[in-house]
Amino acid sequence: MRSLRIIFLKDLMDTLRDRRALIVSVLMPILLFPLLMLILVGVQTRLQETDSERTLRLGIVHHGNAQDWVNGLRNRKGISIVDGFGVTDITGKLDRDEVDAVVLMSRDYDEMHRSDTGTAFISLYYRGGRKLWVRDRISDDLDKLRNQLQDARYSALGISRDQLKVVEWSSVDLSSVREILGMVGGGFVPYFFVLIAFVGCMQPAVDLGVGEKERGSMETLLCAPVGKLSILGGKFFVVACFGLMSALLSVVSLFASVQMVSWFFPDAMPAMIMDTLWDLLRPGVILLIIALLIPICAVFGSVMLCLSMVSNSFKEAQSLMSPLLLVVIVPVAIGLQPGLDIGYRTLMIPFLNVTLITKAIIAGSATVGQILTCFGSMGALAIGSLLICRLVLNRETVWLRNT
Amino acid sequence: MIRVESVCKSFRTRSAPKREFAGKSGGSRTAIDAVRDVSFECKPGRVFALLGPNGAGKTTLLRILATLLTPGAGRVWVDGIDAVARPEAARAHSGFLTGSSGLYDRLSGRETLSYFGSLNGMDRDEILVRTAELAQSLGFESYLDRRVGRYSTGMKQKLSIARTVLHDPQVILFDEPTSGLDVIGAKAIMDWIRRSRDQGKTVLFSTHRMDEVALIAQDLAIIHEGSLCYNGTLDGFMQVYPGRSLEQAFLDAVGQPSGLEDPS
Repeated sequence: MRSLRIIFLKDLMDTLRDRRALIVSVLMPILLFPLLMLILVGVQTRLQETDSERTLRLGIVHHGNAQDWVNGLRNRKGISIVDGFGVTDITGKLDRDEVDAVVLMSRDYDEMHRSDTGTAFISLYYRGGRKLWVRDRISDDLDKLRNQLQDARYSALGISRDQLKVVEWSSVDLSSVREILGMVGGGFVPYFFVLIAFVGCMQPAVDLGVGEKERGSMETLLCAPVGKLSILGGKFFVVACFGLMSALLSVVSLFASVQMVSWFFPDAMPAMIMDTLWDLLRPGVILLIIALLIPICAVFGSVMLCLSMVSNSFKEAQSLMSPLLLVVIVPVAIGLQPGLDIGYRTLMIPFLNVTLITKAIIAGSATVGQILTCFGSMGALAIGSLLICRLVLNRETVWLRNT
Repeated sequence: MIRVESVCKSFRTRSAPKREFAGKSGGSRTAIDAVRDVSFECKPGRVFALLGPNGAGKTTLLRILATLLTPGAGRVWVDGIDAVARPEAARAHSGFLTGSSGLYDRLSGRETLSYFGSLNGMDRDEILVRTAELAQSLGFESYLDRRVGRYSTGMKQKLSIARTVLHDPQVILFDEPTSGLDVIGAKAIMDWIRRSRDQGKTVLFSTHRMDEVALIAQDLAIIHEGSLCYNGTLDGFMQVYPGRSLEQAFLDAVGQPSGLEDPS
């Protein structure tokens, strides 16, 4: 135990002096969220400004109908009316970006809305893939026009709008705001933290494993009267601690970033997003997520150290570790799908269970049994990977170069 | 004292595929004998030189003596300790200077010695005293607190020696200790080996350089393709090849033409 502590402390100090490890495991997690928030704030502000300031170039094919409505739009600030073209030109005009949207009225529009029974048709053409904002800008006007004409017809028929409401149905979602936020935002929390913990573990694992073999210091260390288990243990704890430290720093960074946005850009982000973020940052949630990160980092530490030790070069170690990211990210991403049920069976699947339990924790619906199952599954994986690591590293040739 | 009895060591390696372009999986695994039935003894107060061409098995043999590798067969005693059965105890009684300096660039010389001293069970005061002693005798006091990454090759080698003998082991193993060093650096190492011998330590070193062997070794073993070609005193070896220089005698021993024969 004494040797393990000595090796751990030395490797920790050594890694903390490694500039590359500091950039990847410390600086990056600290800067990630402030940068992300600044980008989000910038994009949101720009979108809000541009959408409201942008002039809508609206094409209208009205066949001489609805002159009043068209003239009303023509005089409206922020809308530029383009007319004088036919139905066959609609697609071409949109493709050539001469207009943002086209309103097509049926030829019998005036005739229909003046009659007591006919229906007049209006179609809105736009390219949502390019300009999603267009629909929002014109839909209010079209809704207003429809309601106005409908009310005129009801009045002509001598009935009111309410008389036609024979049946009205409604849906009542009993989910709390927290539950909805958990489902929407909860899945992304483990996705980020697992990724950061993975990256945080990678550099120390490569440096303390194959890096030491390449530099010859592993051979020197093996000459000391300490067991291989102590060496492995000391290095494992440093790698796992670095992963955990990266994830913790990113939690602090996320908290600071949200606080920063609240203080300096209170109106920049939609309230829904800010509420979600504050809800994610409740102390109970954070503590449980940090606790979950311990077995995750233990798994990363043992597997990465093992891969690093069996490699013959830095490059080989990195190429062996890259596929591991897929093995981790795929189940985490599957857990992001809405509607995936949390059950004891799904909670046994490593990494998928992390996403599911985090969503449940944020939503406030996680039970003690579910949390313990998740911890049990991840803990068993961590112990299993440590045992496999020890088994692989029993081969003496793994520890030395040129054997 | 080191005693080696009938030590063998083989490594499993992938042989080349028989068919051309057969791909990586085309080869089969075969065992290569790195050390074959090697026996010798190094006595305290004497310097034992291990000579051999590249790939002869010198480093493998040294790694076995340092307990970094376990022999496939045979027995090894280091300072009276069965190194196969009690490797950690054997390591506590020996110091091994590996082929590369094997130091930590981000630690200072003092931190390096403190780390290895702690691993060898020395307390803080012992480490301080021994560090000062070694730094003075090897002449690296002035850069003791500088990070190792800024050391020259010679400085690194001196620190490596200090690391090797920090816990004052009875048995010292050197793997090509002067490789890459200039004349002054090499002389300092040779002086150190001589001093260790005079203190009654058992010193074994591997080298390519015949002049070093002639200068400080009393005993000699020549290893070639994993087997010993000669094991005995240096004087005895020279008597086997009378009238030959050490280099010529070595080449004769490993079955290589010395190039000095009469072409006729």
